Amino acid sequence: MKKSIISIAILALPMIAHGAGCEDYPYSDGISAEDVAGGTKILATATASVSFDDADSVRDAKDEATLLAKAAISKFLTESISSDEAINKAVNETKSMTGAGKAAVRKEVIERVKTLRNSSQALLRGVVPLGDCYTKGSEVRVSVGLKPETINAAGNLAGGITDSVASQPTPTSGAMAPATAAPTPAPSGTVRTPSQGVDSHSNTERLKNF
Amino acid sequence: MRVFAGSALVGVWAVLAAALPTVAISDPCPALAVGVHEVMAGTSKILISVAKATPLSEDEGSYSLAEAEARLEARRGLMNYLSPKLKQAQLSGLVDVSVCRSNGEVFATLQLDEANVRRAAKMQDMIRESLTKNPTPKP
Repeated sequence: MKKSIISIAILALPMIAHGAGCEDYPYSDGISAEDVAGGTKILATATASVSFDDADSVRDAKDEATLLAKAAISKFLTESISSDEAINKAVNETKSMTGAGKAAVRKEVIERVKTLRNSSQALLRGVVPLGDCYTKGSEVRVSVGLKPETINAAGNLAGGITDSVASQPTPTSGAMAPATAAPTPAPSGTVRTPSQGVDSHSNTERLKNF
Repeated sequence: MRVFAGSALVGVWAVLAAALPTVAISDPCPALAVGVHEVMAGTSKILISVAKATPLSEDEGSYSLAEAEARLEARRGLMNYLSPKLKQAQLSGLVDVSVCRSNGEVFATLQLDEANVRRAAKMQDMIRESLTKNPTPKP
């Protein structure tokens, strides 16, 4: 009995460790829109690959995935599509002469060029990060969302800042003494510690409440 | 020996149980034939555009490019369906439903739902109204 429990535990161990990354993340790449009170709720998810298991690479990939997710919302709102086709025809003719006679070689080259393009540009307001996950050395996935409450919250905040700045303007010159402390230079010959890997993780707390 | 046989059996079942979620019943690829299909969902009309692209070689990079091409082809197909000979269009509420691979070809499915068009328009109005009413402070 003990042995069977141990064998189950051994078999289940890799699954538990692996499940901490994007394996259990509830959303895959794409966009979803649904009606909520007062408007629509949009949720977009995007993935960026990670080349190295290093904190900077993970941060870069997270930024990339966030931008991709925001671009997906922008494309959902309006997307421009253009299509064009062109045919280039060229004739290449060569003539050669040998003792036996004259020969001509004619080559026709037809090049068909197809150009398809889609683009989108939008000024977004109220887009909030909702969740992210990271599978060690592989990928980062990020979800962002937009709903009437977040748009209103961002609008109220912008209005509040405008009012505050209008009633009590920030001093712009003469009031502040210049900083005298110079940044401390790094001692020469310092050995940088090698970057530490980032563990797989999944953060879905805000997704549940969105 | 008996205990070992029992634990081995449990181990086999555990492996099968662990492997089960990865063996999903595969959907046909593509679910619909290449082209544009009109579907009614209640009172709402849905247009589904399916397009294919062939990767130039077998590597993953070529397949990724073919996926992007198939997605664009699905958009072109939809644009042609809505207005033939049109070379440029602006659409709202487009959703890339799926991209799948079958027999060395890549298929993309794109959906244009009337309900999503309304949703996109409503959200755009909300953002525009919010930006007009409370513009972001500039330095």
